[in-house]
Amino acid sequence: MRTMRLSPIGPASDAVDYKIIFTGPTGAGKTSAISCLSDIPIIGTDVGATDAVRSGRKRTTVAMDYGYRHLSPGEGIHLYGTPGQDRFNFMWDILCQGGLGLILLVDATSADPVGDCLSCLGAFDGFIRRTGAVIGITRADIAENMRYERVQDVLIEKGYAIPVLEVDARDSDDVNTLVHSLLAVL
Amino acid sequence: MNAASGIVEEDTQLQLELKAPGNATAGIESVLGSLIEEDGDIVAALVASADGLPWARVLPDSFDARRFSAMSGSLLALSLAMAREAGRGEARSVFIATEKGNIHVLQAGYTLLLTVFTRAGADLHPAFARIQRAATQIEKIKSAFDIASAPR
Repeated sequence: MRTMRLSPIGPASDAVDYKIIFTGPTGAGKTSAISCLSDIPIIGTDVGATDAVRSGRKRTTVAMDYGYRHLSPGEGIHLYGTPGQDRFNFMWDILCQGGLGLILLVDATSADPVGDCLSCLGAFDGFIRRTGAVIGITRADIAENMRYERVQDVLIEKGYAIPVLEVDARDSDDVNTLVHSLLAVL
Repeated sequence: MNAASGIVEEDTQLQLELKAPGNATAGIESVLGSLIEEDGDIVAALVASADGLPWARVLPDSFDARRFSAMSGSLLALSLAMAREAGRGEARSVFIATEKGNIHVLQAGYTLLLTVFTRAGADLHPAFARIQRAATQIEKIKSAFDIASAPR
């Protein structure tokens, strides 16, 4: 596993911190996942959604979500969540700087979850190839005809070797599993 | 995030918002036009929703309204988060001093924000007063439109 030392907090600090980025389309569960994993109240930038009719969501993240998970004394993970809409793509590169890897969340009940996966992987292609990624399929339990194997098959066809898991973004055990899967592939 | 659910729909949203006659957009663009006309130091201005969608603009062709609207939304939301984190209450504006002028993003009511670009060496005191007045006008126009268009 690759270790990455981010800017220490103060010159005398010997803390080792990692940075993981959560991304995915709007409503995939990024904010929920960071909330349930973070040991601190998350810093969010959600505002009222003016396109609520279309997205079905009243609020949306417009800059980032931030949380922190302590691993051991002097060691922890910074958890960053990206905005989901394409218009905020300038934030994606900013948030990925210094990142250890990517957790992509995709809502199985969306119109085209496989397309969502491929679109996001394309958008983060450079970062993923330098680091690593895992995919969490959310709401798979209520999606008809949507299994993670379907996503995995398409990814293999496209040449991606990325683990795919079904997760509940509100469940800390599930999100922990995603993080550990990511760390395992780095 | 794919083309079907992302940019294409945002284009439609942009067109709907900018084209709808009789809505707040025409009034807000008039406020922006006056702002630039009255103050030679102000070179461009746009109004966006808090979630980063373009609403109205008076911008040179080289400025991408969609991109600056999204960036304005992100900046103001981050400043709100920072102000809250620091226990400073609600953030009202962000000021960016650059080599070639300044960028000022401020709230224009609860749901809109105003972004103004000024020249390098601009006399900021009168510009700030005009920008603040424009933000108040925009807020009033939006409120009046919301009241007029509310279901009865």
